Amino acid sequence: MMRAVAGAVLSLYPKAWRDRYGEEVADLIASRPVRLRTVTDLAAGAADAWLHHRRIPGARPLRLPLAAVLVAGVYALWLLWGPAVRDASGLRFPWEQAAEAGWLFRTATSCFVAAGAMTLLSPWQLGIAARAAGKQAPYGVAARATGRRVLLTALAVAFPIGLVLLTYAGLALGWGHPVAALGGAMTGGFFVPALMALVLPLPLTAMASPLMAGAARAAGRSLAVAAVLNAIAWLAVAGLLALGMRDGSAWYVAAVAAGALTSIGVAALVARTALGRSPHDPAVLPEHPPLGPTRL
Amino acid sequence: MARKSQELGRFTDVALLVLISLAEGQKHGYRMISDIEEFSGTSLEPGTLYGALMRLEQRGWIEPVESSERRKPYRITGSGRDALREQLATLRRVEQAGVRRVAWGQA
Repeated sequence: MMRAVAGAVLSLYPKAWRDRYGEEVADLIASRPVRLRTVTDLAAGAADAWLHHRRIPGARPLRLPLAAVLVAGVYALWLLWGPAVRDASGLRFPWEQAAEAGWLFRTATSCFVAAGAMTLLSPWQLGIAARAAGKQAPYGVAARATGRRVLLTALAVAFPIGLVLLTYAGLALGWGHPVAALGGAMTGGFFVPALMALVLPLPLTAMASPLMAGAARAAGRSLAVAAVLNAIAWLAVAGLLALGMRDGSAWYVAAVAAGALTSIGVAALVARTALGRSPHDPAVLPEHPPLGPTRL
Repeated sequence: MARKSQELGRFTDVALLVLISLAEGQKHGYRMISDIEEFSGTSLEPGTLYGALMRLEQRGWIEPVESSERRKPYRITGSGRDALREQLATLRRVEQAGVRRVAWGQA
């Protein structure tokens, strides 16, 4: 019984570790007495191997698919919407007080709006480049193929982008559950990263064509500016929170902080990916496939 | 050496036992456990032993020996032997200080 449990625990080790030591440890388990202590020792060893994955001889760095990281980040952000934005009404931070700290309120809302606008600038830049590239000989055929891929990607992401924009506009216009002034100021921070993540496949697809590399770089820079504006807006939200947190609980502050960190993190990851994978030389094709794994 | 040993964390003592065991010749995991139990009285479990082997191998203090058998033997390297000498010298200094202080306490 214990031997079977120990064998099962062995499967909890990282694959690189099992490839390297698995057979030897399985042999030890088969040839020595196995007690509860052996099983707990193996479980602790598995946790240690995951924590010190880089120490495993021949192990590659842990890689997570970029798409999965972005989806998880946006999902986490929207889970924090309730505790961070809707519960802001509990702070008794009325619109009148927001008017007193008007410059912070305006900074937050306008930076989030500007971040969204910069994000939407990327597809525009790529659309112009795709049209221009298709007309240039002798790369016309390849460039047209990339242009078509960019267009198909744009069609695929257009609906979710529209949905995100519609929801954001609806909340900004006061539809649905009413939010307090502070909640209104930070609403954009929950939508901009999602928008950026949805736009990201476009520059990544465009990089396949040397003629569109310039536009892909420009789109990457627009996303980087959007990420910076998003971070500035969250700083303004922090200022507003400091003014109105007399009635705020520790849980509420933690929810806002988690929302801010997730929002800034997702936006930074999108910008870093778009900039990091842009080829510097237009004649060189990118090494990485679009939406490939990301090193953590 | 002291700093390098500290980096082994909770595996420092186990790593020392493994190096001592391998200093007399190459051994596979099963024989290491038996040997260490024999000369130190410490009964090692597989998870702890292979946690230490992973660190020692990554540090280049031990290396696997090519073998067609299921049980892969390990041997100590030159830098592993140097590290062991330094660590034993440190232990000797600690032991001498301990003996001196125990004697003062009795005087």
